[in-house]
Amino acid sequence: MSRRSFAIAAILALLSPLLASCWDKAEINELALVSMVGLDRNPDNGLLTVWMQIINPASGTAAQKSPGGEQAPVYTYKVSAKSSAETQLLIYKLMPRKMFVHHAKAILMSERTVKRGIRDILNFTELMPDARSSVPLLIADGPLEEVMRTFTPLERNPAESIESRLKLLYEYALLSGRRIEMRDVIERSARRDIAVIPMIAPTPRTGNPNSWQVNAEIDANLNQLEVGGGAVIRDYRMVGRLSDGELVLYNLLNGARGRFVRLVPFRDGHLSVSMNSRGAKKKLEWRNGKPFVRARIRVDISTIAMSEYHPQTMDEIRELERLVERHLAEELTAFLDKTRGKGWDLLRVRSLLRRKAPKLEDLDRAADEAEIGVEIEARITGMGNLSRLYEGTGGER
Amino acid sequence: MISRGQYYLLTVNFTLGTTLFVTINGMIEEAGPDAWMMPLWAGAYGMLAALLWIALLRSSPGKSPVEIAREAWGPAGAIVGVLFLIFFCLIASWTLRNLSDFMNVTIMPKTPPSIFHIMFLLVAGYAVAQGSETVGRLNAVVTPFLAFPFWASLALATAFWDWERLQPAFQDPWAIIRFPSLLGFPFMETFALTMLWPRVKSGTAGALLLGLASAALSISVVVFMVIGLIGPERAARINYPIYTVVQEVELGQVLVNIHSVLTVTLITLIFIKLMVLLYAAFETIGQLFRPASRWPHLLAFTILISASSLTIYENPIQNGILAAAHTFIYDSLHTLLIPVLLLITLKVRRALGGRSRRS
Repeated sequence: MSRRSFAIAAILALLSPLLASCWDKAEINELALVSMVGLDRNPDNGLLTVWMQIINPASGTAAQKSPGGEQAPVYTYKVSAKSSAETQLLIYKLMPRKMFVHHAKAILMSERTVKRGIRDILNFTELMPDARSSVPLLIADGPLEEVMRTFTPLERNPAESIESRLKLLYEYALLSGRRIEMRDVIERSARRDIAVIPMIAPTPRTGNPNSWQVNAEIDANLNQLEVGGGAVIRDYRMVGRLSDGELVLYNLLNGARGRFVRLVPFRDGHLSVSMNSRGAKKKLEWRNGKPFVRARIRVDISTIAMSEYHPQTMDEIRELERLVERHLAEELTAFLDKTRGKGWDLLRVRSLLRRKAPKLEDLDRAADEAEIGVEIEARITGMGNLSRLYEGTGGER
Repeated sequence: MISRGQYYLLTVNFTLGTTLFVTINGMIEEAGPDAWMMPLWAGAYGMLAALLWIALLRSSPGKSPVEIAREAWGPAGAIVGVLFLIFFCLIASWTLRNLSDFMNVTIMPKTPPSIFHIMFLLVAGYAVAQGSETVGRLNAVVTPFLAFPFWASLALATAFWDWERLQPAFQDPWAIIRFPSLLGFPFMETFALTMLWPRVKSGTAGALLLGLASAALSISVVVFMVIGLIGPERAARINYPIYTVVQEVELGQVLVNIHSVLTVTLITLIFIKLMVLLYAAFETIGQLFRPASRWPHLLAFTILISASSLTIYENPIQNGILAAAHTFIYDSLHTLLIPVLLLITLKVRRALGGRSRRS
């Protein structure tokens, strides 16, 4: 071999490291796509339990159609250890694929865990470069073990089912907010501000049904999960709960834009008023050296759900608008009084003071002392398909 | 130049426009089973009003009302032109808002109303910029596609016909007196069509009158069918009775959604009305101020009319209140009082002018 061909061969051999392609390649069929995560810290023995719901890649439509092809849409893996870091490694005792958390759609935590404080868990997830904090955080009202082992009908993947319900609850019921993700809890807690996140509970069970059984059962209330209520979080800790009715008021105060229905006392009964929130504005004013927060909320009213009464003249329209304004303002004021009594600053007055009066010395005291004025601007903008209601006897009252 | 036939079709479609949306339940509420007679009286009145406009337009051939006003009253006539401009713009906004209300209530509750307004205005503006021929031909081309599905879908509904719903008949044929806004809207609003008058080849008067008569007859037939199909009790309360009629039609197991066909027909009719109004407003600007460039005004109209559509009323309830309280007076001012005054001025001036020339 001539010296020249030897040199060429050597150069080619030296170039071979460049042919190693991508070191960090991740084939999709080598990944375990996490769709939902559950976390629980047992206060007695300090053990952290992590549940991972992994999407079953073979549970597509094609697999369902083949005979005996009904497979679980997700598999739940569970692992316990003293620390978050250990659980991440120990999971490979069970899981044959590399964990991929970037696609997670919901994170669930048990109530007892959040009541003790979740700062360390949040720190851990923020440390992980591959974890995403822009995922809804929900609190399990009931044993998390059960929640993580529950299939959902109609939308077969539980995480997608929850995600979709949170969206619908926001748009059509104002029972969920825009700031319910893990990053919001982190940000709000870091600012010593309040966050409210949704809660989830298992519904009555008949044994331990698998996905096929859940989807074969006509009663969709059985064996599944129900979203409802709100958990109040302050300083990385759950400090209390809001009922569904209070959750609507909280979301309304914080500028959520969605539809909701409120019963408004009218004459000797009630009107069911369908409303569409158009956002809230908070303004800071000073009265006698004390802060005064003016919360203005705009709502559009539609007579679309009002089967009890239909305004016909301008006077009646105005009367109804004023009535809704008064009633909603009263409800909100009572709600704020009650929650401020518990020390929850749900209007987030402290945050407003911090932004608008940064030189204030004692923010907490000023926020406590602040007076709040709620103003509602209600306008009838829409109506249903009737211009006049059917009259006569046979009504409910 | 557009033909007599095109002008006739424009008149019919313009008159049907929003009428089929908004007035039907009002008519049935006033007159019950006899409501189908109201559009006939109102149409006859509309034809009388049209005779007045024809007299005015014939007194100065080749001129539009805006130009006639300048001829009759000189610079003061420009004020009339501005009044007409506002009149056309307001009706256009009103028409658009009726459309977005309908869409929001029936099939697209989440689409912002302004999207409907702006989209319709942009397309109508493009058609208007192309001139009267485009307006006339476009309408002539789409008319068969409107008329056939419309009457076909109503005909399909006749399976549920019940003559009992039309009885007792002839109890209140003069209810039109209690519902004067029907005279204004839609019939006096057709005044906007006189802006197209100088562009029609010949036989314009006949086309206008026949168009009004056909439209009145069509509305009457529609009201008649609505009463026969869903009864005066429901029709008087439901906001969009034609839509409900067709919505309740089921053709076997397959066709259960033919109301979307009807929706397309109705919004196209509204588009034609909007297009004519925009043309009228656009021509008014052109004749009043003789601007060098033309298309920027159409953009300005888009902004103006889409904004005023949002603010013209707060809610559909107020729409009804406004229409009942003001339409007749407002329309009479523009389409009866002003034309009468113009006509008198012209006659008097010509009589005086003729006498002075003779002496």
